[in-house]
Amino acid sequence: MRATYGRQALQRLAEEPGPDPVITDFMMPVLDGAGFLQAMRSTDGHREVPCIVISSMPESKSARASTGMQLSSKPFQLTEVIQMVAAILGRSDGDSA
Amino acid sequence: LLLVGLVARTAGTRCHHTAHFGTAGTPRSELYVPVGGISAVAETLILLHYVELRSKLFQLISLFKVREGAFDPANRQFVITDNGIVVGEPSESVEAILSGMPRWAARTDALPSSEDGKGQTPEGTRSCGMNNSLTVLIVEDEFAIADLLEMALTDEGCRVV
Repeated sequence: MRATYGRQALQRLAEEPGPDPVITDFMMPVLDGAGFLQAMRSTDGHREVPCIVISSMPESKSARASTGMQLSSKPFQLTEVIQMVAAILGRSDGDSA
Repeated sequence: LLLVGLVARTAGTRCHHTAHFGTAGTPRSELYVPVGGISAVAETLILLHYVELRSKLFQLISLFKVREGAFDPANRQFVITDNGIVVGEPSESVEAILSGMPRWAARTDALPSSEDGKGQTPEGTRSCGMNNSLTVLIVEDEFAIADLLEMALTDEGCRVV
């Protein structure tokens, strides 16, 4: 599942079953990462979806505490993002056990 | 497929603590150095090349030669963004790049076991490692970064719809 800005991402969430993690940029047109995360968190069924934000914006760090997201700063290391996804997967396995 | 060889720091300049950096392009897809004799003096050769997959162009980088040392020859995708260069992990999901006809490599670790059938996946999808599957939503307005993320996650076996 891919989207190029927040509004489109919300449409994708409405059309298809929820993703396991969301990886999102912070500064985007139409609806930025902060707005997208806020809207997603207020939607039934998507409140608990884990989020990874990849951004160079300092505002993304302040938003981290309020949304419980994980943050990778640009320029980012792919291994770091993959490890975050793997950690989410491990946590999901633990939750379901 | 375009190959560009970069020649960095020749042996003759090593003792002067300087480096020469040159580039040369080749119109053919074969792996060769387009400047005769340059390999004798070049200490490092780097390949930059493009590959077309799924009707998109990806830019890859790999080491071709490092004098007096072992090196990792893996192809890595790299992207130039507003925030710098992002170099990806070695991509094992694409093969036969230099043939001019690249293709997605089969994931042997996703094949069903003859004993228990674990790891079997529906046709057209890929399962995530650790006997699980993840669907990831990537929200990114820079297509190159989104492509890089998608390729890396697919490499890890995450399900791509």
